[in-house]
Amino acid sequence: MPVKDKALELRPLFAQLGLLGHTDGSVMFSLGQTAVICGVYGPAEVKPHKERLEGATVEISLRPPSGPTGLQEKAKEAVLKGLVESSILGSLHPRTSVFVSLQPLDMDGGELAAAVNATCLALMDCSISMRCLFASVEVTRTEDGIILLDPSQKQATKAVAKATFVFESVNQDVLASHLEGRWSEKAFQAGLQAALDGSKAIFQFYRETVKRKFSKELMMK
Amino acid sequence: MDAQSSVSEFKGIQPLEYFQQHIENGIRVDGRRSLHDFRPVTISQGTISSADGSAVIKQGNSVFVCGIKLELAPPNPNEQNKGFIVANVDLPPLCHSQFKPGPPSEQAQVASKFVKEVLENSGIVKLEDLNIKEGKLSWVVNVDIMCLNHDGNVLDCALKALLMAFTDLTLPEVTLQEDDEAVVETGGKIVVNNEKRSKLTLHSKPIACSMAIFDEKILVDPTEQEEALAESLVTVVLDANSGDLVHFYKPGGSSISRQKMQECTGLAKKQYKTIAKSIDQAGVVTKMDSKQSK
Amino acid sequence: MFSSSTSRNDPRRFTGPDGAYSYHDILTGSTPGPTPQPPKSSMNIRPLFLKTGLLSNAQGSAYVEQGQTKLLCSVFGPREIPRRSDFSLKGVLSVEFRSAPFAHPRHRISSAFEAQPTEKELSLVLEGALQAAVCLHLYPKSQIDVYVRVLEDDGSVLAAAITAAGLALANASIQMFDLVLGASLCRKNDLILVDPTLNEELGASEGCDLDSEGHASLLTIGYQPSLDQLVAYQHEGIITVDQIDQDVELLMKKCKGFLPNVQCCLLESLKIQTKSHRQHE
Repeated sequence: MPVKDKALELRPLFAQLGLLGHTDGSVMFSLGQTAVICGVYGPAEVKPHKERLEGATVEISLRPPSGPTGLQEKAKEAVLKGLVESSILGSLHPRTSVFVSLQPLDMDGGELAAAVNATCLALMDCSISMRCLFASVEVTRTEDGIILLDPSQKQATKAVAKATFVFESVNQDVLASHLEGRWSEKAFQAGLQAALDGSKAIFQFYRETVKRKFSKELMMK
Repeated sequence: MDAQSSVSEFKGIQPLEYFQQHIENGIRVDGRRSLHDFRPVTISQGTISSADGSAVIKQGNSVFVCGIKLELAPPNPNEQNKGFIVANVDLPPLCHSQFKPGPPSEQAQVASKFVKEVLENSGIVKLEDLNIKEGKLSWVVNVDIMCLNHDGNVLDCALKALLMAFTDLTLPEVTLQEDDEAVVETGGKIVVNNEKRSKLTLHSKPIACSMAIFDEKILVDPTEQEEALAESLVTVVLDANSGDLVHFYKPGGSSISRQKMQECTGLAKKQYKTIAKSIDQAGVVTKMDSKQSK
Repeated sequence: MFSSSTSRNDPRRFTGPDGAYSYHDILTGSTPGPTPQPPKSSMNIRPLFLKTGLLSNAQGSAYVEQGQTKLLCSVFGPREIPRRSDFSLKGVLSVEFRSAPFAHPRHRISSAFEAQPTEKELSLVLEGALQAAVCLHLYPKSQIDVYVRVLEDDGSVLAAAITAAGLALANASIQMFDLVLGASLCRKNDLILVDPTLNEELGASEGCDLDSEGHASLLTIGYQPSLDQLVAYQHEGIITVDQIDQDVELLMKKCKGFLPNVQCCLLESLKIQTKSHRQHE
């Protein structure tokens, strides 16, 4: 059973950048047992009817682990699209496309958060200019008001409500939010604070991951 | 005449500037006097007699119709004591030139998912209430929300139409007669009494308030044009019975500070009471069970 | 007719469980179902309510209520043809006729994007009628879209749709040779029902069986009153040649009967338009 301070800790994070050879940027990211592979293509050629003069066209494809894409995935794609559009400097690459493809491998709680974080890491690996980084954490609340940060599926069984928040790296403001279940305003604020604290660890993890990538590349040279 | 034509030229050539100047002066392009005002809402219930429950809602220029059709089906083997709610939002080509005939647009799919999430989060209808006989027979409540004219704020309107259609919905009485010649799979002969219809108990009253954020200012109930120009969109759904937060939906867009988030929730809180009142006036809402909506 | 099987397993929308059926299917004789149709002939069109320009996004729109039948039609265009390769000197008319899932009093109509066969058929008939009425040669390289949604079906939908489409096109200021009006009747031997309700229509189609005594038929026409021309003719069932003449004659008379209502409605919307225009100036 998670004790109070452990309840506000993230599960182990893991990321391997650049594992897909044909993409411009890729990552395998895992959050505890939840794992997802993400590949980014771009800025690349865009289909004429999708061309935008103001900036890059963002397309997201999120596949379920099995079966055809459903509404569940479409809703997540919409959130990811909004995130990517607002965080990359799309105006630097007008009339191009940025295509993000995600494939969840294992689902064990926090799927949306893992997908968001993988997208950010893949964009970084792709070296697309960005306004800010973003990190996402899931929090849950049990019946007696205990807030759990980033629970696994097993830990979340007692949860009555879930929330996923996405923060940006500059001012730690909220980029996106998604709720499941009821939240009183007080609990919502508590959850938001817990998620914000958790996101700091993720930003730190991003930093280390990128440092590791460049130390390798520099050594090769 | 001259001033008029230069205004329309301004509007045509620099739509963003035109819009900005309105907002800076605290007024809206469609003539609303405040950034925090709703467009006038008119609601009518029970207009479609072929549906088991229906409502038409008009909010400004946005028009939505919601119809509920009931079907019967054996319950899911894993959830033997539950019924089904199947809610979809349709944005047909009729409602806006941006939609083409064919499969549902991405926006329609996202709206459908949002409505489903609100239904689940708020627990407005208990699926157990839709069970007729455990393991044998359940109601399937097909909710179809259709946009007839799209002028922004799809989520608010869809949810209002849904809530009003639910309050209008009546279910016929169904009894299972268990006799010797009972059909095995249904567990008895089903008798539907169409004359004796009863309302469904609604356990909450979720009311959405969508806001567009533009230049650090919050615009309540944005029109389609405002949505297109806004930096980000936020939809706050509150349960008018308990005041709980049912959804805080922000799909990307520019970031907002926590202070702004609280401001949005505060605005939604202020709004939902007036909306709830106008909804109550539109139709006789069934008495809510205060115990169940903790 | 309205099988819902196609709607299942559609990944783009939520679908109900397999094997769901309408409770109307098992409404037994113990409960008084729809009242048995009166064997009297009815020669009148049900109360008609027409309104144009309700929808702000469409170039033109019309709402028609004919008895309990309610439908909405909107017109977009003339606008660019999406695929640039299709060059045509004549305008292209595309018509989509769909029913809302809750429109039929008994069954739920599949809301899948693939139209039902009946919907496709009615789309084609409507398209034919409008193609004859619209001055398409005046709209080269452009497309006019006509969308019809039935909100409630209580018989004579095609007739109502023809009237609505004509009104909506006129409201959109699309040039036409003449207005188009729709009317329908149901005949069972000597019994004539003008503007039949859904029950009366169903009663007629049941009588279509060859082995049953007598013949029944359902006839819908689209009519241009000033030109005195027929633009649509749809007929189901069995009928003698003499009866066709009689019926068409009768329906044309009925169309002329409600022509003033249609004209009045258009005039009304024009008045509102000019008024708001003047206010702007």
